[in-house]
Amino acid sequence: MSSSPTRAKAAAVYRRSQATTEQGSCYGVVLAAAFHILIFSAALLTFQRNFDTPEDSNVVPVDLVTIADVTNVAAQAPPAPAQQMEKMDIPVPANEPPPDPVMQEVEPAPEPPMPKFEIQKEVKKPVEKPAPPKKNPAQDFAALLNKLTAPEKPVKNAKPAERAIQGIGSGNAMTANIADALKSQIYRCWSPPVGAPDARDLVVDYALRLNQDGTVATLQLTPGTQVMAASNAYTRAAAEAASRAIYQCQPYRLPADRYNVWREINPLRFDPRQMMQ
Amino acid sequence: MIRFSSSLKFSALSAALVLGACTHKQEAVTTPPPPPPVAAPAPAPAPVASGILPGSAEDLRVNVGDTVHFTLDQYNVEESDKALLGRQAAWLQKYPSVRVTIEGHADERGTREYNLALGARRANAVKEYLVSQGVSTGRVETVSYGKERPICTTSDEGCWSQNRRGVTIVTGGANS
Amino acid sequence: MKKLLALLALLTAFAAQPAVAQLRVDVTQGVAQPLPIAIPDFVGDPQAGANIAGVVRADLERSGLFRPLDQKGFVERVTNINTVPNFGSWRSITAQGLVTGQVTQQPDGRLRVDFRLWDVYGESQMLGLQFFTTPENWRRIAHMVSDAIYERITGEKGYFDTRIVFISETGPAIKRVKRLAIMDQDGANPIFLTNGSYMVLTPRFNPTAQMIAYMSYISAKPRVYLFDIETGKQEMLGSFPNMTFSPRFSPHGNRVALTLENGGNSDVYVMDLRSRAIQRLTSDPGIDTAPSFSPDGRQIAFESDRGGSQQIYVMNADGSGQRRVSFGAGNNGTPVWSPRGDLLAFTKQQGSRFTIGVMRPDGSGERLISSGGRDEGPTWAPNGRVLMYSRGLGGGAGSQIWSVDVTGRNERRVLTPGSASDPAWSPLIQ
Repeated sequence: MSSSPTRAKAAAVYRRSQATTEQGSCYGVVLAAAFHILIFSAALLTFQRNFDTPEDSNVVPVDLVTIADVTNVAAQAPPAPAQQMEKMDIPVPANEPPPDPVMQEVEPAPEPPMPKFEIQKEVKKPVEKPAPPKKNPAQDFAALLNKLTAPEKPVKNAKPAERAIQGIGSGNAMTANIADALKSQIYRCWSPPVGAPDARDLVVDYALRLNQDGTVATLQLTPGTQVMAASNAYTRAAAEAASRAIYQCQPYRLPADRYNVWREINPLRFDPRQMMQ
Repeated sequence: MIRFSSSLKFSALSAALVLGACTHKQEAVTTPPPPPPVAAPAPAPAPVASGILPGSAEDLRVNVGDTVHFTLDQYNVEESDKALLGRQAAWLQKYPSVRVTIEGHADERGTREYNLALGARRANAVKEYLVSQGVSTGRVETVSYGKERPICTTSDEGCWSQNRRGVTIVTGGANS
Repeated sequence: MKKLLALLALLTAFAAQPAVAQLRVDVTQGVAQPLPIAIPDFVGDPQAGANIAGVVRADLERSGLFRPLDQKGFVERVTNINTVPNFGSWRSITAQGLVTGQVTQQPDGRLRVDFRLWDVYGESQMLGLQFFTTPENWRRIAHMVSDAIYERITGEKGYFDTRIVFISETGPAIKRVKRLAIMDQDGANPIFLTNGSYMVLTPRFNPTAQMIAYMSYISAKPRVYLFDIETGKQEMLGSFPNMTFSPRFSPHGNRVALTLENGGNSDVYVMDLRSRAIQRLTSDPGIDTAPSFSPDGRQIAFESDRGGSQQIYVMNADGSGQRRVSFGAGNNGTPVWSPRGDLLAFTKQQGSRFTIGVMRPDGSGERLISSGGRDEGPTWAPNGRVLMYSRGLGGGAGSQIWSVDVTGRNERRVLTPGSASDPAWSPLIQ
């Protein structure tokens, strides 16, 4: 309990400094946003973290668990399907004390070996188009956004792209539109992780490279997230949920003439904390 | 707890023939939880001609009255119940070998644990009143049933008020 | 279940570093929906394979976080779990996860169960485990498979290999017969532990799930008892002249907090199980009951009406530092500390309406998470994400056990044999 306020404060300060240094040109908006985050994370982080995080999240190809032959109490009554339970009439208490299952020796792992957790793979052109997503208001909204931000008739002039590369002036607005367009396509595929004692464990960063057709070229966790995911099962689960979203929603429809802007996204951050209120 | 010898049953039956009103009560005796006393919190003593053995559990229940009621979340003995408890105390002094247990009950509006505690308060309030009227404390035990033993089950004040009750049960030393 | 959480992100990061043309994107909103997962019947022994896969599918579906896909739509038929699946065919039916498994009978009669969890989009194996057990134990293996999948996908410990102790109710409301009963978390294997000749209430597991503390009216004297599941032995806890009730084990299982009534006044005590020494923790004239230890054992939440209405209080485990923490509407009682310590679940009563809520242990962040109106007595799954509670049906119609996610989503009935109340969730078995 006692450590929570300081921790929340530290996190908030961290967020604020990050926001201000990165986005000086939109100071007002960013400050407001940062303030929201500050409040939010302060609220969130007062949750105490004294629940053990799973200690061993290292991935081993195949774990072997052996359960002793002895039955536990649970197995004493014949397994009854739910439907039969209405007829249950077992007036006798359980009397035989079955010992607990015991872990035993590990046997060699069968094929195939488990890849390390590190998503970095060439994505072939999808064989079949991803199933058309169901109609829902969010999607309509996303489609609307696409129209707003990704004009079908690309501007011939290449200059905006150059400005975007410089990251100054009017290029910022356009870059922001592309970022919004990408977000609006990813978010509907992203089912955020269910939770963790410390919500910061659920924030993950990817480096994403896209092909010109909007499919994923490479996807890799940033080094920072990779380190966290290696030791934290929550972070690993969050990273995998984000990865599923990225793959599921490709190809991304973004303005073709701005490919140099969206070819590489780094970091592509997934942060569910706002959703967890 | 409440048993009838066959002769008693016979006399009860003949009494029932005379007093039609008693028939219902006699039948109700076969179910363990005492039936709700006929609405009135302080019933007038029943006619003595019922064939009930003086000093018996039935005597207390029918002729003296065994149940008092409480207001929501309260456990103080109501003014209107003091006459009844006074009669209980007098009856207990008349039959000094009788021992009783006071059951405390609550209505459904309260968590299980809270109502157990509340029932204990009510039972104890009844006990203290009897003791204040001269009944030896060693003759009176208490037990709480919380909301677990309602006598009616609809969710309205009419029912809740019946369930918020303290019931004096003869547990030993009675004539039978 | 597909709850749409619209509203796009407030924050977009911009291309910030002129040196590299990198776009920064913050995704802060998503759509919470269960993970579509394909779990074909395990190969090998066809009967056992179908049974185990069926239990796994049911476990994961009930959690609300998974959506097992209908086998009829599967394109690829799994025949060998040691080959890499054709991920494209699983993607084509919208599966994001795939579980392949195999059940074989060993020469010594034991059952061997292997399974693999695949990331269909990442095209990689996420998990591979192998179990041996006696054939009767197949349900537990299935639950362990579910736990492993749940933990791997969510990062949270699972809760499927657990049991529920509860009160089985039969007969009319004015003559209700209440028996101690126990079943698997999914309602399977229900067993009565007492015969119904006396009333029992408020059972609670100890941390090893081998002992139950409960209140019994045996001999018409309501007292706290211990029930040893292994031996079936019942034992009165201590010897008190008056009622004892509302027991709860300490996190290490060596102590029991309980309520002792004396002269109509109820107070919280704690008893050391070895020495049977008892220590009084509260001493005011109000009703103090329903104690529950924090998972570190240092604090106890309880309810008290010392302030005029029933509210939740927290104190140190030695009784010091008693303070009220619930200030929300109505009465608030039966606090139960989450296994991970971040929340108290409780029963809120407003008039005759009872609802399950959660709040932080300091009383902030109160949220109501059940919708029954006659819901009381919450109990936590060992991972602190799911709760069960009693739901009264009203009018003397008995009770049911329901479960709900800590977020308030996925509220559903837990199947029990007949009417049931007072559930208590075991820790993970073992």
